[in-house]
Amino acid sequence: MRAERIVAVVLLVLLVLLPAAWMVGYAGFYSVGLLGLLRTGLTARWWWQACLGSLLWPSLLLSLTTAVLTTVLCLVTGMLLCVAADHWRVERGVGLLLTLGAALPVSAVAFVVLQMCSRGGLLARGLVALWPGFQQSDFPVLVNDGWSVGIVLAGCVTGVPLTGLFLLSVWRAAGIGRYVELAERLGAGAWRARIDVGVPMLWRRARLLAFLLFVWNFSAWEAPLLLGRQSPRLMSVLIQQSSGQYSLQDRPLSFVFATVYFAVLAGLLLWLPRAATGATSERKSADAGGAA
Amino acid sequence: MNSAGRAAGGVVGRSVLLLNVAVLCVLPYVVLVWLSCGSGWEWPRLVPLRVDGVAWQRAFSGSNGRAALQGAGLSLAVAVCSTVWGLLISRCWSETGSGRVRGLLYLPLLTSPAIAAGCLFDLMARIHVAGSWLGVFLVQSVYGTSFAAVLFAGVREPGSWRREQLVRTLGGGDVAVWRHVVLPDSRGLLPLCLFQTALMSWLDYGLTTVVGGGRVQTLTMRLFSQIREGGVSQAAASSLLLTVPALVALLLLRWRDGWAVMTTGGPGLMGGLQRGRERKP
Repeated sequence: MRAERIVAVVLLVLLVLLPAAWMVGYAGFYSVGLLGLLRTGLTARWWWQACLGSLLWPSLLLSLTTAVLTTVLCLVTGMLLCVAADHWRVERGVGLLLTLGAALPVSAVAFVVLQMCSRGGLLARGLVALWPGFQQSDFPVLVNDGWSVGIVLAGCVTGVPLTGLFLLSVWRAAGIGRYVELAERLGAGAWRARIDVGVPMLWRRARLLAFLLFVWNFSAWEAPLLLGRQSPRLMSVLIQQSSGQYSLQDRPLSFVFATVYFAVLAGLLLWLPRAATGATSERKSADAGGAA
Repeated sequence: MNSAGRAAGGVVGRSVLLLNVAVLCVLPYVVLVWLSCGSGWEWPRLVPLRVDGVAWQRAFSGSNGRAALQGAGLSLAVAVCSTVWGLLISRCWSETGSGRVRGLLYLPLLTSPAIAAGCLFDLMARIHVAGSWLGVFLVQSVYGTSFAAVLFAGVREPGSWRREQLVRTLGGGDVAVWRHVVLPDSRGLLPLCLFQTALMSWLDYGLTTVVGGGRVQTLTMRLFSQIREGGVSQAAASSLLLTVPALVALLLLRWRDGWAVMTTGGPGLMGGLQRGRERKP
């Protein structure tokens, strides 16, 4: 027991706590000039440059809005699926379809979106074939665009299967269908019973998933790398590309961006126990209610 | 679920929604197969100039085949080590851990791999493993171990602690505790954890490209090289090759547990966590 605990603590420190502390500490110290080849002693110069520059805030705003939009779209589609696929045969078929979608890696999805939605892509070629006189320039800009349509689309293609599978699983495990049926017997319409009874029960259990999905979309990298614009870039791409890919002089700036990213993540993590506790207590009370 | 009597949204609405989801989930496969079948995709051709299997021949040979084999070996090592280490950590944490420790365990898991790799590169360089397979294995294990620890700790029940005490009271040592309590308790989650951590490593690009420094070639690295070089057919074949293990793993898990929630990459880890929380004792 003692030996096992020692091994576990050593592993915890070496493989989880040390890397976590190193990531945050390294970025923080580098950003104030205390670490790295360009260290100058304690300085706020890089922070001023980042805060007053035109890179950080647009990227942060774009990352947050893209993450919110993708998460909301995934959750809404997942919930609509639960409402629509409420017959067991349909549910099994949808489950299989979602499993197919869930197996697609982000990089493959990003590649498909690029090949489908770019101006030289398959959709534009299809329109040329179907619509005489259609020009390449007539096709709307859907990738590497200002509205991040391609990134959101790739996020949905990867996020909807997960959300759908999870929500269908919750719907079945918690017996939400029984509550909806009860509401219908009490006189509620089919749509209203699902929206007023089923969806709130789903949401209470899906808060943690929504949080994790948001964080994942906020941190997305592969899809924005292929489908995003050069300016503004999403946070992950901005940080990675400014950490010496083009100019070593930008390296301290990239760690300022990384520190801001970690601060946002820490702020979100403070909310995590509340989401997790809320989900657990709701589940317990629902289970108790179901048992009663 | 017996609420099929009155459907919400009408037949048309439901059909449109289900059709959209079907397209969303199946169309990428169709596109990838179509693109990988031929070469010569000049504008505005919808069919390739030559329908041949060149992309597939190349996908299994040379640097692509080698990268796939090496990536598979790496993901196997990461999966096995992360699962064992995570199981060990979860036992220690669930005895003493608090909400703050949970937050710390989540931090590496939620951080973008590209950003984490940028910060950890210097640490890897200091211990002389940057640009090597060992370095990539270590940083991927950070993610894998955090995931496994959170997953296993989430399903630890009070009953298992009592059973452990019973085994010890009856004279059992650590080996007996693992044999009679730990492994039976976590048996249901072991395949999920192994598959999920293996997929995380198999599909990783952010950690490998930064810490590997271009010297570690996996299939994902090859895929991005092919996309940058404009090798459409080759990239499509690599994408499908990358997808096959994930698809097999997911279908196997689904066959074993009809409601397994697992996907590839980042959200996949989260799906696994959710599954751990949803699983009832």
